[in-house]
Amino acid sequence: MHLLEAQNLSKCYNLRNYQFGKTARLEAIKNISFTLDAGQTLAIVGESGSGKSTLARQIIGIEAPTNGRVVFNGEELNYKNKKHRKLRFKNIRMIFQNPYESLNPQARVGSTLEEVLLINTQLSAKQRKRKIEETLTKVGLLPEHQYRYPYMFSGGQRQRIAIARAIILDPKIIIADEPLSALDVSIQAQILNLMQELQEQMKISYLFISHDLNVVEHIADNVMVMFHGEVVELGSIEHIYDDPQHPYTQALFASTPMYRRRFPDFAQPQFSKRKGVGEEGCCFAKRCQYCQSHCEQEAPPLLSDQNGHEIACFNVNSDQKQAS
Amino acid sequence: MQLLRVENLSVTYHSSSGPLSIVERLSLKMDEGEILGVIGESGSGKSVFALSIMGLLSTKMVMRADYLNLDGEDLMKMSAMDRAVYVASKAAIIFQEPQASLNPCFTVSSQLDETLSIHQGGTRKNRRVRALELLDSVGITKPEILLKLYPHQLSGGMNQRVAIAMALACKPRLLIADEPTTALDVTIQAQILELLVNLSQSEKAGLMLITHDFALLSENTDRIGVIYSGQLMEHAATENILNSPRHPYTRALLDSVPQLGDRHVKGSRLFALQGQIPAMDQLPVGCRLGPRCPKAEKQCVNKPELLSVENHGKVRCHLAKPSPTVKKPLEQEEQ
Repeated sequence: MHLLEAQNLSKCYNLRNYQFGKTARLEAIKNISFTLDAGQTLAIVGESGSGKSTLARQIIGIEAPTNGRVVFNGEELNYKNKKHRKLRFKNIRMIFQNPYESLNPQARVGSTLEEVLLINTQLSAKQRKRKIEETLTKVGLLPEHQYRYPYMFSGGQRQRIAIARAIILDPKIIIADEPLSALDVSIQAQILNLMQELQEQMKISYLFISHDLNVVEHIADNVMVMFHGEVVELGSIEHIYDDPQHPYTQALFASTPMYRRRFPDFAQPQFSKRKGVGEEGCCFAKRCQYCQSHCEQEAPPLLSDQNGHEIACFNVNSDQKQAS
Repeated sequence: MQLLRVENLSVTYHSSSGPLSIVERLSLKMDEGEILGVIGESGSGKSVFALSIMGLLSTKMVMRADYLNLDGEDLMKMSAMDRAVYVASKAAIIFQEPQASLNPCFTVSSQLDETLSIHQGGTRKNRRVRALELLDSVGITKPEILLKLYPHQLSGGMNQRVAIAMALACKPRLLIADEPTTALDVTIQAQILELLVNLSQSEKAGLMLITHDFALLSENTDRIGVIYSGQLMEHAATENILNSPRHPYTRALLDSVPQLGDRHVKGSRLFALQGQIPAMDQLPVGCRLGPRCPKAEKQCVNKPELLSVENHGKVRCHLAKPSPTVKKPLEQEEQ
């Protein structure tokens, strides 16, 4: 049994006033399925606007998905069921991108952390205080830091506080939405080390959203590449980093300086066009250099090869069929 | 030919609690057509250094330099007005956030036209032709349509291209790019960087790339300067910096980025510098990296000098052995 399973998750937003009063439906994410096991890290890679954060919102339960199910520990989580919500909030926590904005500037660190315990547990005041002190030490801060305000801390320390807020309930899953991109290089390494340490101590699973391919290679066990709300490639780290198949994944590697040397044959995308709202076809067709006529009419399904490496591309999948 | 020569440039910020030295006696040289990388954490003074060359510092900051030579003229000997005109015709700067560096109230055409009318003059027709040329040179496919649009109608990458086109309007000899790709998507980053490098090669202009990402610099730059806390820590050719950094800070910066092929292994950790960059009013005694440095020794409480190291470049560290023959301090201690 998997710890977390997403089955065919979709989210549509109705855009009122899309163009001069016309309404439109925007499919922010489309038919996304994946599994996450205990102690594992699944990295979600993609450029901005590819639906990474929307997916995180469906998993954590801020919004109800239009279609599809989120299954946690074998139990389907219903968005409206109060019991399920409590279960979800206790076990799935989130770290946000920018620690300067995700912490309440008017609350002391202690009360920010205590609020989580007040809502989700029945601990007494004394126990809560002890838990806060324990958690602060765990993330590399000092117990007396609970009496301070967020502005007294540097960016790296604030991100540690945000991590403390996420782990204080001993969750099973943490969704980290670009936790490093607001931080300096030398601080990034500190936070990354801390996250790995916590994972090994507490057996936390991470859903690690990032666009930094170096960091993903360092931390992830499985990688999911998203483009325009769809999964284009999903597989283990060896699959994606040793043998990327989808043209978009290849383009991502080609545009990162360090990886260009490893994959010298991959072409960089020439255009930055995207499929418009409501258009049919493969999500990557407009940028793809291998695009053929049927790519623009029909969306390729996400097919898996024998090793569990899933790719959504007509060219790659038909090649494999011929080979086998 | 030498394009830029900076000797002992210092910038002081007059805060309410007294003057703070933000950039301390920085010396750099750039040749024509050279690409220089400047790397450092935020708060290290790399942007202030760029602004001080352009003369765009806020009124609370004061710049002093022994020598600031841009394309054959010493800027320090000019009056403020002359200097502004001269710098504007010789150098241009591109900022980090393209959305913020363009005026949201005006179309691309009117903003480009304003720059062109100042630098080039001529009739409106000529300026329009030149504007189309510029947009074409930065890789925009349909410039006629783009001219009528407002910045909010364009994507980040497109806006950055417009900003680059505006910077090129004066045919600059020196192009300073202050984190030009930080706000952009990964796939767009590569395109913008390639564009900048190609432009500097074709125009034989100098390009100063300011960033905090070693990966960006590793491919294109000729030399790299590492700035920490307002001081130049290491300054050498790119291969030397990447392959055998002599300063512990450069080493740490390189090590704190995951290496290629460095997969998730249980218990493996990245190297991380402890602590954070010191505030300018609470600088440590001696070497500014001292309290964070993994190799710090007793002698590090004395201020290290920026010394030449044989077959490498210049390094500011007691532990990097300077070659005995060239042991000549490049900066004198302030009296």
